[in-house]
Amino acid sequence: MTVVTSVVAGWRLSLRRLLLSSSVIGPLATWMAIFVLFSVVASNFLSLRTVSGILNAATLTGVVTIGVTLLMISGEFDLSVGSMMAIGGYLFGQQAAKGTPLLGLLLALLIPAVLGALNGLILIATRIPSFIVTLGTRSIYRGLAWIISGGALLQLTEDLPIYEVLNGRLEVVDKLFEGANFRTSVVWLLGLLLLVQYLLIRTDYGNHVFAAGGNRAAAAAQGVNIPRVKLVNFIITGTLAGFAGVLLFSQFKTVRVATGAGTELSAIAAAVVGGALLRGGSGSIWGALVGVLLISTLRTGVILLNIPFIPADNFEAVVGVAIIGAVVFNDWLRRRA
Amino acid sequence: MGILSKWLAALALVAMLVAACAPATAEPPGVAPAEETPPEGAATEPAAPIEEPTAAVDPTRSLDLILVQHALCAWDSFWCTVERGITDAADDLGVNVTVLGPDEFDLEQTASLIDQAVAAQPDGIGLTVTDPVLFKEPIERALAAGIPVVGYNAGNGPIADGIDYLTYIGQDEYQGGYLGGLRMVAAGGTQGVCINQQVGHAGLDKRCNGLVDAFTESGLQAEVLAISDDPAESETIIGDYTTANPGADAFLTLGPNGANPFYAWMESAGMGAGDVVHGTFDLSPEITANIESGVTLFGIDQQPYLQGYAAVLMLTMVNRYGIAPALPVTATGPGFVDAGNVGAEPAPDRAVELIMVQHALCAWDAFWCVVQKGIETAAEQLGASVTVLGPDEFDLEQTAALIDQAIAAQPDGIALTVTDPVLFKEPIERALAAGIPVLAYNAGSGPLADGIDYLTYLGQDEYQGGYLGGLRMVEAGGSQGVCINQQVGHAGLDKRCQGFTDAFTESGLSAEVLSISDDPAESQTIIDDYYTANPGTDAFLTLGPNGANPFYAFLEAAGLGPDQVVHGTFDLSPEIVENIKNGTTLFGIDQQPFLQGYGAVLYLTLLLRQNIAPALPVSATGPGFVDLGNVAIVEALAGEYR
Amino acid sequence: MNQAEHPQDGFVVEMKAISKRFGTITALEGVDFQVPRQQVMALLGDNGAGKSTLIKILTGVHRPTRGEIYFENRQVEIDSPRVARDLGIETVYQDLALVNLMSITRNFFLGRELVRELGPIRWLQLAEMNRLTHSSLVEVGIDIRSPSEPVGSLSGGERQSIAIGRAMHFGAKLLILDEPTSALSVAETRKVLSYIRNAKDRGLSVVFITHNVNHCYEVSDAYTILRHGKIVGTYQRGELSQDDIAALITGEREN
Repeated sequence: MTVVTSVVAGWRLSLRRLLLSSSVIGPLATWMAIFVLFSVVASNFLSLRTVSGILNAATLTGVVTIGVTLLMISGEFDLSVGSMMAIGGYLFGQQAAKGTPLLGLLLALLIPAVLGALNGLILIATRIPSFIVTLGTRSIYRGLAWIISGGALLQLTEDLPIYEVLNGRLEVVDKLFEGANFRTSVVWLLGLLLLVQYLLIRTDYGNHVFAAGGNRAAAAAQGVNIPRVKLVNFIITGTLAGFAGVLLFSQFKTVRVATGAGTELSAIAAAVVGGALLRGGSGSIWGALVGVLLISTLRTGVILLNIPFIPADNFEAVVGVAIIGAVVFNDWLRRRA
Repeated sequence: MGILSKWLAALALVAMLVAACAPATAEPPGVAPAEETPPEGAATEPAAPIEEPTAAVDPTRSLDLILVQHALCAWDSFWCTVERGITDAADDLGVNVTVLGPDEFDLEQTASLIDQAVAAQPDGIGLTVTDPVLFKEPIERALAAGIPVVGYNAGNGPIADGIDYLTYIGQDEYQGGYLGGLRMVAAGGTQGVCINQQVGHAGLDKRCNGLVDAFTESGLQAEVLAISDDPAESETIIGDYTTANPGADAFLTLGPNGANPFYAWMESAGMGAGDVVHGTFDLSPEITANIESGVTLFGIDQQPYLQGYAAVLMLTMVNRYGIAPALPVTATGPGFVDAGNVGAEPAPDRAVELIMVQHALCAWDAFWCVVQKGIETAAEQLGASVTVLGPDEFDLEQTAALIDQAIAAQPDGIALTVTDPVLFKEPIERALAAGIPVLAYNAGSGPLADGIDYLTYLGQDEYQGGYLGGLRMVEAGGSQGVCINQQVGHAGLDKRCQGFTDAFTESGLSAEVLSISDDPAESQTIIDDYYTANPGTDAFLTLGPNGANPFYAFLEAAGLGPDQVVHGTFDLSPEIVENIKNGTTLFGIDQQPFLQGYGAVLYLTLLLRQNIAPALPVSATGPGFVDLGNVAIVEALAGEYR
Repeated sequence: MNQAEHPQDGFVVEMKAISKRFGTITALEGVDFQVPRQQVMALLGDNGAGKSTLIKILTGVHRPTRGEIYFENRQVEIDSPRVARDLGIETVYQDLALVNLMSITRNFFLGRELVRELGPIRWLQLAEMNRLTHSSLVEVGIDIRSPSEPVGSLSGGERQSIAIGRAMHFGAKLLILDEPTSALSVAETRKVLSYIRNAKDRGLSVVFITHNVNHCYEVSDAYTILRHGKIVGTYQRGELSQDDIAALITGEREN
């Protein structure tokens, strides 16, 4: 009896350690549970086609979410990411149309970076909460997208080799497996994830990011330059949003003024599902990516289940319920530990 | 911080310089400007890529048209009005029209005249579909020869007649009864009676249905009273009915055959103007006299002049611009004749000065150049002088102020975009109070929905777009449909899907709506998952480039082609045009903005010169279908006429 | 830069005739405050007496309106927290010391992380940081389970001790403790006081700010009492009873 108790206690202790040391475990466990559940109840769920679909659906939001999560950990929001994504798409697409896609790529990273810096500078100068600052720049940047585009849809029909690199089919894998439809954007997403996760966990900068969001005054007292941390985070977020626009254009060769609308909220939702706190100071890039995948998996699963009383034009509501459920489960798991 | 801010300043400078240069350069070939999804109500659609016009496409070329009708002005005076419309249109548009008809009423001979017309290889044939069974084969021979065909005056539309001509130009019987009923309610009618001399006649029954619906929807009662061919008997029937139903105070008669005994009953009952509300279909000397004396509120006319004019106009539009009539039935009537316009004589040479007020201009929004082209083309062909007003940038307040500016100039007519019905209501009502006729184009919902008493709204009929698109897809072999909606809850998009699912349901098939998002990668997966879950799906409707774009990505990734799926879409984009050409996409639907500009000028001019009023609250300029048959001309004229 | 003469030996810091006005309000008026080397100086006063304003001037948060500051007998201008820190002035704030969501090590080294660089690549030496954190805390007499545990899972006393240990580790000469014991239990207060004694034994000078004489009586070598922005007086240990000090703080007794 005592042996059992101590084993259980030991297990609970190690689970506690695991959960406390890594905020990714909770969302990961939730995701795996959902994945297994759908594999059992939806007969057509467990296939490479479905898995690659889940991944593809997560790429654009995923790239944006990396930056948004970094910002959220430092205690700030960026609601202008969707607009910067559209700007990135246009800048890249317009140059691609002129035959200078590399210049386009550069512009699509640089200008959103500047816009991100502007977000940060306004925040620092005015001390208005970033939620409000970027609510404003969200519209301003959307207007900028309108000016850059002339309000017109940009669509190309010609294929460029650079598209294959940025967001082409991942032939190496796709040829090996029947039905697989992986794209190179997945590789980019993974690379960026590793890079930013490294920045966050393995560098002094990452330490400052956590401190800026976790306890601003304490960090400032220890000499952390909080405005600089936030500024850099806004720049990173802008750059990633611009890159998401590039990835989008590389596959779909289309960008609209409304491109990326709503992405900011998807990214925040994913970050929260992935264990980030809305008040800052906690979260992980891995977790946020698991959050994006979790939402993507839920959507695919709900559609595949083809439940008669859930029409196909309303599955988003079910996904919404499931997101809340996932956060509750995640929270329960944490508190049990 | 110091180094960082310097670096940032340099970065910002570089970025701004580049940004300043970027949009200034001209659009390269293959990059098509297209309209962004507009605010609700202001439906717009993109233009296709610009290519060198092919030799066959010449929007000014002369045309030879042949019209075949079952009667002629020479022996039936009704047709003189139709033929006047035909001749006027031929003059205005600069086309050659030959009118063929039998020497006396003879359907066999009329049918053979169709074959005669086909043999002459004209650019278009207009005809009265007097006998759909008899005329079916000759019409199909014309279609097989690649000659566009429209029906006018007699017919039921391509769907009801089972013949694939473009449209039927004639009276919308149901709307006649319905809109007449609404007028009678507005005039104080509280209990309606539809006096039907031939119950069981499809056209007449539709009129009565319309009246009853108008009363019912107004929270009032109405019913049908059957009378006979015998006027004396009919007068007694009406008398007995009113004794049994003393509350009945609104009477609709369906022609002189009903109006005549009705007037007799009024006289015997000692009633006069103002005692009851009376409306009727058709005109006769007796009816005209009673409209003038105020006994009869209105007579409904099918506007035969417009039937002749529109037949020539539509065949010309198809040939020159690839613009097709939007609906299977193009309504020329009901045209209401009331105290305001009874007895008005046509003034064909009257000078017409119009002002158009729109929320955007060609100068800063490419979409409007096509509308502008329509306005200019109509003004030139009709000899009207037209001024277009619009703000320097999207500014509804300023647009509203421009309406007042237009009124101050005292033009003969005003056409405008009802972009904001609440904001524009008062200025429009000031124009109406000043006696200036007003109609709406491109943005609006029609006088009934907007609650403003302008003539009509010229724009896309969203429901019909989905419905007719759905029928086309069923015909092309679609058996299980899905409407891919990027913004469920948007009234216009929901109507498109509703029309689509109705078309499948009425064909005994199933269809549903799939909601996608703004993220194309996500949307592609949603479509793929839906297809995995519903592998029987073979007909996909997308509601614009936003939906078509991820759909094509889905097709490519899933390795599907036109052999497995039927695809139709709203709007055009370079990608959609490409896919129409390679057979992947059956059709793209556009709202035909050229027709919005052209139609606005035409309707006002016809009203001022010929007393012709638009028949319906909404005059559909779209759906305009772009398919393999006309994609070349549409592409060639993109940005100008399409 | 004005190289002043040694005003008086034996002080790690000496503040002379410090005045501070916020607009029309005078927060401090001609305050003289000295901290002798390797002693614990208690700075006492009621709420609003000017304790925190004085300390914020010393730590570079505020600039004095008038007055001079000498650190180790050299006149200094402390115009930012960074300057104070470079001089060796470390402050431990009651609630603001640590980031609860971060590990002990990450807190310990916050703003002073050990980083190794290879071209543009840089990385934290986490193992080394963990080791140093553990060993220096043990040295002050603090036993922690694991340096990678989040600070949020520690008790209030443990958190204070980590902040004190951190200040000691990074070579502080003057340790300023702002109300370090006000939220602690009796047992935990006792622990913190023992860390302060340790710090003093290891050569540090300490300023212990509190409004409650009971908290500091045991460890203080001297007391400076502030009231209404002015110095009431500085007293050596044993000169006054606890009751006398309390009376001076509240103004029941004038000097």
